[in-house]
Amino acid sequence: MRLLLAIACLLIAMPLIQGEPSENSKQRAEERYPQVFRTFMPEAGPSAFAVQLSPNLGLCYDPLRGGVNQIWRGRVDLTPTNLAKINQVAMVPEAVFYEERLVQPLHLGAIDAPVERRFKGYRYEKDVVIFEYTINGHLISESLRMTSDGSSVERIFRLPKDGGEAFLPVEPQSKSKVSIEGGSEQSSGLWTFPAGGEIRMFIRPRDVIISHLPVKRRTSSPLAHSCS
Amino acid sequence: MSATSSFIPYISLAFVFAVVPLCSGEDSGNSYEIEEIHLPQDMNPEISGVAFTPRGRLVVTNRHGDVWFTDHPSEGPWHRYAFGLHEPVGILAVSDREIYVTQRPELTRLLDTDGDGVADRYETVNDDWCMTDNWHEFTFGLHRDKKGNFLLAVGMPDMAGPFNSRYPRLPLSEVKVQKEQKPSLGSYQGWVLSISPEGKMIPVASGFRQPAGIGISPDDEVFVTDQQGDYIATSTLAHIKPGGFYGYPASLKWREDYRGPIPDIETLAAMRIPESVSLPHGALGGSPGEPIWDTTGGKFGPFEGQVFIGDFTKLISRVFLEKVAGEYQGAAFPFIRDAVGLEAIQANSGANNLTIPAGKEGLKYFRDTPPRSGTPLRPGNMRMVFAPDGSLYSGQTTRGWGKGDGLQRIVWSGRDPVEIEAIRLTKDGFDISFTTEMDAAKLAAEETWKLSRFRYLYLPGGSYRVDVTDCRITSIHPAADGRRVSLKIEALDPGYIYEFEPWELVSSTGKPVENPLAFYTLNRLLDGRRFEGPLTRALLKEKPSNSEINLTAGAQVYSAFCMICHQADGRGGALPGSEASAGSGVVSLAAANFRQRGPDSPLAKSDEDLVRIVTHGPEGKPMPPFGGVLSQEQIRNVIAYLRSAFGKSEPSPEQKSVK
Repeated sequence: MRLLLAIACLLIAMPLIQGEPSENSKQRAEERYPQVFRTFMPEAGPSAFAVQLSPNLGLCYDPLRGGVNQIWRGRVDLTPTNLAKINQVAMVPEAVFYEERLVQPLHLGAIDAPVERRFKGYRYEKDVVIFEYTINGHLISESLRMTSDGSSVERIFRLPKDGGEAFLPVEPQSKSKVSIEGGSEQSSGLWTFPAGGEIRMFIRPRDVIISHLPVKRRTSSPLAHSCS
Repeated sequence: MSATSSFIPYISLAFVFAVVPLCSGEDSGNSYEIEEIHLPQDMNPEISGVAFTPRGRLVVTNRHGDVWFTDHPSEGPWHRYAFGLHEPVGILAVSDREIYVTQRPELTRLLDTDGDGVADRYETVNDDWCMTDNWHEFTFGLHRDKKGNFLLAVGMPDMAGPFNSRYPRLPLSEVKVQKEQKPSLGSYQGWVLSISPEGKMIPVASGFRQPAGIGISPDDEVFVTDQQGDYIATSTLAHIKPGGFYGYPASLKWREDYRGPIPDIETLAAMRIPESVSLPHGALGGSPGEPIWDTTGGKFGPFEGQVFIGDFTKLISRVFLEKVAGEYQGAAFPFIRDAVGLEAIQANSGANNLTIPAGKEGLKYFRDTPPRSGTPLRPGNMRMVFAPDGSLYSGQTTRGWGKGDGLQRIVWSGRDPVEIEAIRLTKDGFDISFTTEMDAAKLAAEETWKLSRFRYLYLPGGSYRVDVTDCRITSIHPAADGRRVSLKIEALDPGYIYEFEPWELVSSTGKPVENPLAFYTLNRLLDGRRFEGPLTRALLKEKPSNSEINLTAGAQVYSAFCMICHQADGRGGALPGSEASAGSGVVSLAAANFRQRGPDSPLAKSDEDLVRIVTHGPEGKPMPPFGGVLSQEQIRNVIAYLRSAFGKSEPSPEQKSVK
């Protein structure tokens, strides 16, 4: 009898000790941004990322080409790739205001150094998604977030200390203004950055008029930064 | 959820445990019941991976890339753990906060670092294989051996769809090793791979066409299923040996010792390791998924230690493995199948349902078996797992090959099934054991035991059954307890599949055998002798067919094989899964319209051209070749049926010339 009572008590208590998340956790998760979807994207390497930084601001992150392929206003439509048996790519909104085409633009050590890039994954931290990869074995983290006014993208690369100087050619953009911090422009569009530093890139559409970038300066890691 | 409602399942469980012993013994109900696991509306139901955490939490993944879990499968609630994965088709749950998936591009570790029930880290464990965006490049998994190595398999692209050569991962090579239809565009497509706990990839074995199911036995041995088509005459369950080649040539070019195309089929045949067990096409489905071992300790009935394999059709098979002369071989049986019977097939054919396909010989399997009551089994049973309570969960996804996604579980009712339990090879025949006492007279009767044998050939175009002969049984010795019988066979030879059809056998209480069908793959005799004849040609000549065209038979073939794409009215149209996507207006694939008229219409082609198309598949289109599935007689019949049913106003060129 005691054994039965003990079993009954255990059965009653089990749901309480299982640490089951609240029923609202899924709801909260779906409302959270950024949201990252790995899928077939147009004009990208196979299995790229659609990243929605907000319901109205998204981008394609391509781990094979090596960077942000496009940034758009609006929301990517995953329906084609979710439903198709045979290859269909996601539909990107027409309002694209930023595009990159250079293959493996980020170099370590020298601008002409070969690039062996390996994708390592990503993680969510509050309002930022952080992609990680190695270039020639050196770990780089690249965080993507929306600026506080909702119009622009803040992109921060955290460079390895032992990888040497970093080189990043920045492609001219007709529909957006790109601001770079953390390094110096060697020649037109080619930037260099010290080892162990940060590349801070701000991309805003040219039709958005603001007098200053709405992201506070930081002294700590970008991963701990908040721009609320 | 309230504490009261939480308690309900435990009360129910206690009730079940109390009642089950009362229900044991034969009864008129099903031995195994199928239950629906209801999924939340906002969960995509294309379940492509199913697992339990060590403490019993059910975790599933789906084709849209979500991972969901529940602690109460029967009633929920469900919670979304992760999202945005790229078509994962394998899952492994290490704990509530650490889950692994095989998604298209990689093996991924999903971590919930803050314990809120939602993954916040998506770590790439390994992605050292090639990838394009071809629709058919699935990454199958996922299991881990006792050393902690992850085992997965990489699928083969299919040229019915394009592939993306923009920024491919690793250089691509479209060079063929021989005549394979599916190329291995890059390393290691068509391979089984091992990923160490530290994330290092080790290529294990090659030669797979579409290794959709990978499993690890209780003895820590790796087995893989492969799917029927060119070179792979029928679907298989193979025991994997490091360095082994299992028959599909395309992946050979990523072996270190590869020196260039291999034009000679005999060379490949000599390299090939045969499967442990054949799953004859038509009788035991068409596209097997994950093999799993019954380690429930009897909670799932009398099949402890046996292997269960879901299939893309409405079928779950069961396999008994035994080691003979050091190698695995054994017997395969249907376990649960639905819509068997020609009427059921015809009623269900079309895009809404998949039935068990049948081949040249397969129409005989359309005979009706005792109908199951209760919830029917859905198609798409590609991923299965045993729950801690001993029930079998089947995750189902059918995208583009039919409809019927979801999650079902199969529960042993506690009643003894009337089944063949196992077939074991003896020095001069087979020992057959049963799950219950059988009718002594039937067991001993010669007419009970219809036994035949056949082979499959190893050929680029695949193979239907050859060297088909009935087998003479020289003696029948039933055991005194009625649960076993020994058959002595006149011609017991390696290299053949022996087919058992005890349709008239009943239990001692008069119940028929639920699945009176079994196939024993005899690779080796007890003394180790193997087949030494040709693997690429038949030993017996096929009887020439003098039969006249049979339109009724042609209509049956059309219903079973063609209607799913070409529709009942012959008008074809968008293939399932390739309908115009929202806004695009593009239909990516369409089946031919037999009612089309004009010089370019399908039925304007000559019979000879149509026979060639049906036999070998049309150039550049996704229709599979049926030459390995249908006999030439069946192909002629179905072409005659096409002309009769859909082409009345468009006589064949032959008819025109006659006029």
